[in-house]
Amino acid sequence: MKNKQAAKSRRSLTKKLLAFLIPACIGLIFLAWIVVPMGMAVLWSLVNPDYPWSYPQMFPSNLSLYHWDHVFRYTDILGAIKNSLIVAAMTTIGCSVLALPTAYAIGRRKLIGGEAFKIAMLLPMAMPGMAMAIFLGRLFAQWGLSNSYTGVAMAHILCTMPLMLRILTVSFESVPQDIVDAASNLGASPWARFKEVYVPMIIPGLIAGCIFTFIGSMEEFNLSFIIGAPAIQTVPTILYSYLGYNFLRTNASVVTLVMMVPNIIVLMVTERFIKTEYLGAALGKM
Amino acid sequence: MKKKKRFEWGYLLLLPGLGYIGFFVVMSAGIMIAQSFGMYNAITGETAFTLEGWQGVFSKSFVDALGFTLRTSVLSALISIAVTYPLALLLQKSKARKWLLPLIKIPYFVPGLVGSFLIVNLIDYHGLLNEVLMLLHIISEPLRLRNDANGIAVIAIHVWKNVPFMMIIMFSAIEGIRQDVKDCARNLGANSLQVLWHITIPLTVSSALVSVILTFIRTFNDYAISSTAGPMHPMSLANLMKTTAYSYNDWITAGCIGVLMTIVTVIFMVLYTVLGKYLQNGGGK
Amino acid sequence: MSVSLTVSDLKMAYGDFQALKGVSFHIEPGQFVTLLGPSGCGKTTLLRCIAGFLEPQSGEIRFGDKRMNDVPPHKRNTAMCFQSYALFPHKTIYENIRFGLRMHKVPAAEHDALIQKAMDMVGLTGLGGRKPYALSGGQQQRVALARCVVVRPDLLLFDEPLSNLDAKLREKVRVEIRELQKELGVTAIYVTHDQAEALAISDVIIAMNHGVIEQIASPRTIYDKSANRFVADFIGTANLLHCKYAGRDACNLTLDTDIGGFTVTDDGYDRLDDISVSWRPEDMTPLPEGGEIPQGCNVISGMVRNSVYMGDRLDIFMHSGDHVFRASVARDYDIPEGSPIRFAVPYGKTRIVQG
Repeated sequence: MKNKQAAKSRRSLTKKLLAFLIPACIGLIFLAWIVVPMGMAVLWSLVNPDYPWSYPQMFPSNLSLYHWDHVFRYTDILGAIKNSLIVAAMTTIGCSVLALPTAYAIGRRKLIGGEAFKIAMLLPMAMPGMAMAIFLGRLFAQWGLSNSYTGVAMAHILCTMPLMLRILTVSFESVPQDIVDAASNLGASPWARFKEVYVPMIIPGLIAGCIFTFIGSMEEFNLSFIIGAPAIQTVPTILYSYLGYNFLRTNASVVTLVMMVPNIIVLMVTERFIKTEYLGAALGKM
Repeated sequence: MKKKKRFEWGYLLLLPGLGYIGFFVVMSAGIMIAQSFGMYNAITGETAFTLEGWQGVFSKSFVDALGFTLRTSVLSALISIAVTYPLALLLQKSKARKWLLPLIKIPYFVPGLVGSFLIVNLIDYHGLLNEVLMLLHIISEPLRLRNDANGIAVIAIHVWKNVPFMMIIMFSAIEGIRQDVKDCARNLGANSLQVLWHITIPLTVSSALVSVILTFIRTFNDYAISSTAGPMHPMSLANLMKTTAYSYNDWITAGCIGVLMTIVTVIFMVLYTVLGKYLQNGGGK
Repeated sequence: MSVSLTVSDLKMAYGDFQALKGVSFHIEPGQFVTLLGPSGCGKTTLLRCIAGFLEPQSGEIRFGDKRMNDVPPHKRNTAMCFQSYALFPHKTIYENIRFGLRMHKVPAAEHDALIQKAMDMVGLTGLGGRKPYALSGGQQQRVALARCVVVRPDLLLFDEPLSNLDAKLREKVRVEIRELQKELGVTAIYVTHDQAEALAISDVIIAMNHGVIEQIASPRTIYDKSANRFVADFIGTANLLHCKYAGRDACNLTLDTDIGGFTVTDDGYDRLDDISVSWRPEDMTPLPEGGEIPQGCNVISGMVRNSVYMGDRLDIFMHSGDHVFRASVARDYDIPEGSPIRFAVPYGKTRIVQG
């Protein structure tokens, strides 16, 4: 009797301990994962050039906004942000416009070979990014598309298309047939069905697809680097130049922090109405 | 009363999406293959069939690059899943997941190069990691972790970036297991460890494989991270290909490297597709 | 407004499976017709062919004089209530009901009055602003109904509309559906597998099985004068016993079965090969022990195996020879299990069915 009680209280104690330990562990991992690296970047961006931060100091001795001022004054980071946003917007619009009819056909029309088309969607993923960039770049150079917004956006559409197609196809497939039938039964023509039933019902999927496309375009490096640079510098290519030959930790910190802003904003804004399941469903399952 | 077969307009609708993909992928793959045989030369524009590229492609630098790339991509995929799986299981049970999950996902939304820089800061010669280790007198001299021949920095960055990505896949797989299946197992007398071993893990292992494959493909083909945080020698395959083409103007060899990388990628994409099919046919749920 | 419906020799197959094997019938304008049968009998396929969602392989569908085979669903002017209700989840109740009006190009000025009227009709007044998920199942069902009637269809179609409601609500809504249909005078086709529902609601029942029509008749006829074994057994409960024709006189037929002879009032039966004798449990009257056999009755004797109290009646399962028969008697009888028993069934309530 007594033993039983002791075991019980021990078990509840373990439970309490676990309930405390698990979040603590995760919090610690999270700290190491995100807060520390970002904190370091913030610190480095604020180092005062007159008081260099070097070993064995744990923290910089003097902080200033010198590097922020310097980066914005002497480099074209704002131009790069502008370029990135323009390309991302063009990519998102182009990609969704091209993907919508195809996703509808694959998801909704009972086409012979439907499964094969679903696999064909993945084609761009089957080619290494750099190989695609180099040899597509040759084609675009011949067509005079290099160093232009159109060229970069066209290339970005190519590599963001699989995810967009996948998400939209799943969205189209999950519209219940009854609802489509009900619409046509009430007199809706095929176009009215598309406009009044399909589009509103796939909106969440479309938004998710657009967000992933936008972010994908913002951080695409290979294609921007080969096809866009040097005329169209996007944020990743400008950061690459800081990390490569003339590695300046302080300036790179500033560019890094600036570069994260749009993505973090998108993440924050979308977290509430975009479901993780979309990505999980789109990538994990065929 | 035979019906005339009407033209199926659905096939036309495939053109904007699949046609676009198909055209450009086939074009660039075609150029790549042609170039690997010396045709369609980038510099002189002349076309002459040659096997030179293929005879010389397995040079020392290529073999080194292949070894380096395989090592970093396999290791980072395995380490990532080893971190993600328990974390996802823990997180799924924890009440804190509502606010932790979005935070953990942040690195997925952080561009690869930014991640590269952030992690380099940590493990650099005078980075935080070395300083802490020295402060604790675990090491007497800073470790050279960046641009090292073993690619530790490259692996660390890929793990940092891939864990959130895997987390998204694994988490939805774990969440996808119906509660009544687990309840039923409990009801039949399984303790929570047995539920984990007999229900949760078997039902999510294929998702884990899928995420490992995707991670492997991403790392295998990476250029930006390994060229900034990796060693100058050996290079990653993507880096070697790009350098061969642009710095040495050897487009034939670059084409060969590209073809070989594509073959490896295609093999793993096929694996991914087959596994995905298995998942769809009731493996996951 | 309301049309007649003629279906002739309709055939439909999914791959190797013949869902409809040549179905023909005619429905007068304003009739309420039920397609009744077990699942897989082809009733829903038939309804979907009528709505135009499925294209039959052969045969013809006419609304009035108009051949409809090649008319797409959105131009057929039918309105269908789905089992799943199929409400548009992204539209409010008001917009759901308005959808058909917009699609039929009804002038916008008339919308509001028509929608309010339809909502009043089905008892949804004041709920127009809600979204479908905020309503109960019964209310969603009514929205689906309002959405159908507001477009003044030529043909109202119902695909098991009540199967997701609980039993009490089901009875209530089916009365409402029937009243609404009478008020509008519209031809209605109603698919169900629930024979009680079919009996309660229809002018005409079309009993289907394995893709063919077994019987078309009014509820009373189909119950009292089932054409064949399947109909007798599927609609209500029937005691069925294979039998052989033994002879006929002026007004009765005599039949041989393995538990003795039966006499059946002649109803002009012509096909007398491969037949069974059939009678309803509620037509069986228990006879007191040693009591006299009433005139004009068959007597069935056996052993009580189970006696099940149903509240409104008592169900007796009795052994007779190798057979088990079911009898429903008034609930105040007290018949112990295991006791011998005799039942009387009037000649007039004993029927011959095919099969």
